[in-house]
Amino acid sequence: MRPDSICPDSEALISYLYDEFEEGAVHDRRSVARHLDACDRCAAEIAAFGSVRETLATWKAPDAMLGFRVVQEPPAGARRWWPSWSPAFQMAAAATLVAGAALGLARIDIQYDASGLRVRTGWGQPEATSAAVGNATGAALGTPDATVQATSVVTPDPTLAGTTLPRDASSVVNVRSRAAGATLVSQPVTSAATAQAPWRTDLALLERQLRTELASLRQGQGAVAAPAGSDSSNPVWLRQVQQLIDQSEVRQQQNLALRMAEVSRDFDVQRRSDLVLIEQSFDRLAGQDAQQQRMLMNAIRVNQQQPPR
Amino acid sequence: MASTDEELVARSIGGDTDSFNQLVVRWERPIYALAYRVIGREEDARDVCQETFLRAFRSLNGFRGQAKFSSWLYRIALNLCRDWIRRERRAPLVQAPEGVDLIELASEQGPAESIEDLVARRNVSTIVERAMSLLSEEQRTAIVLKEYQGLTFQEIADLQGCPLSTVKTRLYQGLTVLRRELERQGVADPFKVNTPEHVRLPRPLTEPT
Repeated sequence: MRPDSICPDSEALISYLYDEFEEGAVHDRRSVARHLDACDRCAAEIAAFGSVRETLATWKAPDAMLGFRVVQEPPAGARRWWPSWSPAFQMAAAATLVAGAALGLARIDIQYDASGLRVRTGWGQPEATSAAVGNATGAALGTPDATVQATSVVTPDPTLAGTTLPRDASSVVNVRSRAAGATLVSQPVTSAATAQAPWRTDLALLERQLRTELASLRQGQGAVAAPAGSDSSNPVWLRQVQQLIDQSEVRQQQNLALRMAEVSRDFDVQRRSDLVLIEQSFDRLAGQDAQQQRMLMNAIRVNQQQPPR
Repeated sequence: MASTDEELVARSIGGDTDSFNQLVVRWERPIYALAYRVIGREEDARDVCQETFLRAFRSLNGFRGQAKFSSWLYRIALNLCRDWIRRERRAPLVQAPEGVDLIELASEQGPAESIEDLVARRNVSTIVERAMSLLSEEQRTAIVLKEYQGLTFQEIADLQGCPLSTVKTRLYQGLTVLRRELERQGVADPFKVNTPEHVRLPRPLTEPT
């Protein structure tokens, strides 16, 4: 019996079907082809499989809106926290921090009432006695600037009832210190002196700046204010701004491209959906026509079959 | 000139997300088509496709290049498909073609023809889909990988974790079932192709160029 007359196993037929033989296999393409020439059954099987494969080729996966993209967040440790803060918030936070630290160090007591603003610094002296103690000690020390002036509003000590504060005085600053046994140095500060104090100018400046920036933020302008003291001609600052603008433009372009692609896809899907509906409508109309024709033919046939009277 | 998969993978491992996204653009449709043909549901196939790329991205450092990037992706996708099939515990369902109103069709037709038959008759693609759903998961996967993804027997064996001869057996058995079903539906005509020389199929459909 010739080897070609023996039907190859299913693996050899599959190898032949896909034209993929391993080296050293029992059957190769030529031997299987010779057998197919002689064996109708195997040839028919291969032909049927070929037909199945052609039919399989018509199976298309439906279109889908894919467009997956990986967007990687920076690692938490390397993430820059400060860009998410606007300069106004940065400065407000910094100012709060500095003020808090200063308050903590100086132990400043701030009161504001009808008589004006009172800022008191020092360590742990009861308020009611502080002025008196300050008065006495200051006098004892004989410091020329230790003159204590206090109003009854500030220090309701009867011993100080005679002392007066100018009506325009808005604040009294009592500075006391127990360092090295020294009890205090109290300095009354008139409104005129306060107005000329350098910190007041800075405070007013800071307040104005914060108000301006908060107002601009509220208006949703989103404008990035330059940090205090920065020069608009600073090249580093300008470069950063330019980079931010460039990044924003790139993001906008990407978003626009994405939207365009989505619109295009939506349009395509809608178009094909409409085509399917139109095709169905035509099919339905054709079916109705065919049915009417059949009914007509039946009616004609029935009429023709009726016996003559 | 477009970068190869290997070059893009190397750059992706170095932290270049754009390179990975180029790989996504290149392979998302084949992976989606594979998932769709294996599990048979559009939405779920899309989820599988998305998850495949997410997993690939997360485990890029584990990809040592011992296999082709596409094979690696196929493996991830097939594992996800297998998980989906086991989770669903049901055979893939046949979906009606887009825009076909089953209730309307049913009202137009007599009781002799079921809705499924009617839909199938309207679309050869649906017949194929139904025939494929008759196969076991292993047979269906082998046929999809061979017919539509154009993988070699050896690549399929690696993906399915079985001997090469098993892959051929699955293909043979799967094609036999399909042949019977398609002939029953009057789609596949065994006499259409007369000589074995004509049985070569077109190139894989979804392999990117």
